[in-house]
Amino acid sequence: MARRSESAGPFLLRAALLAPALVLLLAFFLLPLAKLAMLGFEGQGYWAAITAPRSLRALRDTVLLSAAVSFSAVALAAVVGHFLARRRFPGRRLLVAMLTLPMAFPGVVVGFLVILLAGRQGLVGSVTEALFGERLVFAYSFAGLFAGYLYFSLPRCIATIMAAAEALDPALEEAARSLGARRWRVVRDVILPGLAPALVASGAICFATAMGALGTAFTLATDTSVLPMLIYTEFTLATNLGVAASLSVLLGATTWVVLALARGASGSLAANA
Amino acid sequence: MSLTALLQNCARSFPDGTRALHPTTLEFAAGSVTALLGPSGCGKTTTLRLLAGLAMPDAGGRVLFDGTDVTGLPVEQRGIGMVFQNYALFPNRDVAGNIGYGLEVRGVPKAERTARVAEMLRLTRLEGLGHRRVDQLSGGQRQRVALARALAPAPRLLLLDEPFGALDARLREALRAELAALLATLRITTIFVTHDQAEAMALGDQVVVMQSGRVLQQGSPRAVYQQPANRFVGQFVGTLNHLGGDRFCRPEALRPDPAGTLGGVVLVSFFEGGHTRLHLRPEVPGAEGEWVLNLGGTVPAAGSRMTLALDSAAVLHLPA
Ligand SMILES: Nc1ncnc2c1ncn2[C@@H]1O[C@H](COP(=O)(O)OP(=O)(O)OP(=O)(O)O)[C@@H](O)[C@H]1O
Ligand SMILES: [Mg+2]
Repeated sequence: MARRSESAGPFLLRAALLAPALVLLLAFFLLPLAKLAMLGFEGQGYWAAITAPRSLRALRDTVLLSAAVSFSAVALAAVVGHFLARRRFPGRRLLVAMLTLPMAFPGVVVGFLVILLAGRQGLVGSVTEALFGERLVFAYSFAGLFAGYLYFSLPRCIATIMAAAEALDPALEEAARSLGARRWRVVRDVILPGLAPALVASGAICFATAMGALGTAFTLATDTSVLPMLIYTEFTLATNLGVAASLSVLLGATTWVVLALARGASGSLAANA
Repeated sequence: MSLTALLQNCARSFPDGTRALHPTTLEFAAGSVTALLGPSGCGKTTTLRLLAGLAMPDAGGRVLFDGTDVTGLPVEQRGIGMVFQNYALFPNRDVAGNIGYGLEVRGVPKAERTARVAEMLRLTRLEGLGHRRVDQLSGGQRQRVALARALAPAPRLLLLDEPFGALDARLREALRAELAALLATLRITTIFVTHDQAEAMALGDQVVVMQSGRVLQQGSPRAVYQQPANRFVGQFVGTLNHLGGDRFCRPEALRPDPAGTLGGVVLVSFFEGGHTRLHLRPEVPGAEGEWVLNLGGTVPAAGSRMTLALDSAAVLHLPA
């Protein structure tokens, strides 16, 4: 008897506590998503919107770009993050603080920086012209997008991985070395497995952010069209709500599937190690 | 098989000016077991890391293995085995994976490795646990895995940093006996760090007592106990009763004797099973602090006066 009333009490209490969260979830997440999914059926419909050559090309470019950026950002951040976590040198705190600065920049500013760096009047161009007599301009290509995306992804990855590297027990590395492991064995057998959860997590966030980034691509107005750009164009310029909604669902679903696959792969990797 | 290790004039300073170790020369004979004993922060771990090659001595210091200078050799090339204070087991490997790691790194073929791991599991009484995850082990089992992992590649020098530090008292004693038996059969030169004097005395052929980055005394447990170099060593490796001036004695040098010449009043007594530990207020001019003595049988009640005789051969003259 007592048990029943006890469990009934917390159940009601839990329901009451959960209610506001459920309302929020419904109002800001499920309802708009459902509306968006419904919108996709208007006009030519999902299949036509998604299979249009333009959409498929944008999807392919976006996924490739985001994957390339995620891998590069995580690899670079692993090296830098581990270094910053372990070494103490003058100016280290300032450097760490400066690294987090780009986090506040909107995509437009990042695009602008890429133009300053590799645009028609850019720094890289001036240097290569002086050296080789030819201006290297890549701001408006896939490479420019890559540079911009990498720029805004790196700080986030470094922050996450640095925190994980600080939590790694240095005695594990010393233990591996005392057993005869050289530098690369230590990296492979101790550091990478220790950082794996952080690498996967920051890679996933990086990928999702890159998939949805608009500002940088917009500023660079490149020859490569990424999916968010296409959605923007359909929505504001062509006011083609049905196509914009279809592509949005495609973008969301693709990101979700890729992340689920990555998580599954890293999970089985960790289990095998 | 085992080697003679020598620290020659080794000091260790940190950039902030801390002198963790003052210039020190210490020899560890082949096959011997040495305890580095001292209070927290006295430089025990520092000494061990210098031997391991995890830290470099200041300029002028040299580390020699069997007469060969290994000062510049990093830890991975010194061929030592080390057990870390918190064991530092690899969480992503099972017990067998941990124990076999040193062999894997050396490129030992799989079949040979498996045989050696099985041998180590048997030696450390871990049979059947080879495929256990290390976070599913008890503290004592972890300690044995760490030991097996260090021993698997057959090192010529074994270094242990507070091997029993994280264990409760009863387990410490059991594992201490186990380790003593293991070391006696392996005859590897062994150096272990502890701040427990009983552990140092029980396991070590040789005890090195340290304080504030200096070696105060090096000798057999018996010598260090019976002829301590100074008051600090005497107090650290046992109990000292002050007799006045620079004269001290161990508790067992005092015994109740109606014809004795020393007197004291019982302050408190602690029943410890086999004996009772008495604390007395000495009634001897110049004697400071309390006296301690261990008695079997019935003991006088607190507040009663005792007459004691002193074994005069056991009086220690200790400088401050
Ligand atoms: N990185 C460092 N920078 C500055 N001082 C240090 C550093 N590492 C250790 N020390 C100092 O060196 C001294 C000796 O340290 P060590 O670790 O050898 O002591 P220990 O005898 O092992 O002590 P414990 O029993 O507490 O482990 C201590 O005073 C410690 O504060
Ligand atoms: Mg220590």
